[in-house]
Amino acid sequence: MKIFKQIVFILIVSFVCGLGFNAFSPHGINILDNPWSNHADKKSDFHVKYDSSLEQEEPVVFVNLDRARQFVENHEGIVLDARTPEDYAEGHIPGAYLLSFYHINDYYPDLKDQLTESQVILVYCGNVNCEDSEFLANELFNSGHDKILVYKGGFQEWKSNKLPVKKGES
Amino acid sequence: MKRLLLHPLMVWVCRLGVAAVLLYAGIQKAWMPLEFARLLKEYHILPDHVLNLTAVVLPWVEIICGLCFLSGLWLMGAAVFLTSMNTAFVFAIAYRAWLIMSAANTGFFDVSFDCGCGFGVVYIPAKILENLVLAATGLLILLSRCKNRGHDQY
Repeated sequence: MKIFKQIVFILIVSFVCGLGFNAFSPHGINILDNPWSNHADKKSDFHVKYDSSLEQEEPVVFVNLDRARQFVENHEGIVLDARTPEDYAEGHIPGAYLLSFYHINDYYPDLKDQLTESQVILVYCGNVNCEDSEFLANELFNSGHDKILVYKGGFQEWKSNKLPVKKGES
Repeated sequence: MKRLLLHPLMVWVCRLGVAAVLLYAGIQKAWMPLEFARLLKEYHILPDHVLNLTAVVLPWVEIICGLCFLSGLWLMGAAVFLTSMNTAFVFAIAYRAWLIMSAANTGFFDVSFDCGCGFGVVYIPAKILENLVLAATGLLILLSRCKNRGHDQY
């Protein structure tokens, strides 16, 4: 009985401290939010499909290496790197801006005007297995940007195909 | 052996060691809950809608348990948490390692990933062993408390 009481006390204190700290932390998150599922569940106009064509009818489209390369070489819009600042500094696609998904509030305000003016946005992260570019695309879509390309191969595929890489901070 | 394991000094050292691990890991995760939530998602065990809440509360369970081990308050409850959490982590990490092994066609002793434990990318066999040791330490502390119940000397 004593153990059970202690477990309950620890749980209650953890909930109170966790929720209180989260409310005042600069990195606090909305516990009721669910940025992890495909927003198609919540918004009927959010669709994701894989497309290598130039025409974009859907707000968020997955693109392959060729389309990403074409986008970068033709300066078709803004390129965003969703990885961490450390990964970005080690190497990124030339011309890409850092918009780390985990520090989105730090970077988004400075880029907001450029992103609003840009017709299309290309986002990428580390490799085909990372999901940060999709999470960032979801956030951008929720912020009103409706033409987003997600380059799924990410920086690893770009680099392994000997395409240009820039090092250092933006 | 039993006397050595349950010796007050031994239990004290275990409590301090466990407290240090829990406080460090808990603070790392509590500071960046979004990143922790993302790592939790990669386990594909919890439903998406509870990931954020878990990422906010779970690090504080570790921090509070760490403080309990330091202070001696609610020690048995903290020991139960330590053992049960680390046992659950062992299964979760083993499950994710199995998923990676299946996808990448690699062996168990080649698997490393960021398990969301607060220590970055770790070598998984060593991490599982570490969690088993932590779970056993929780049991040891619990046993020592049961043994000394009524005449607490710590």
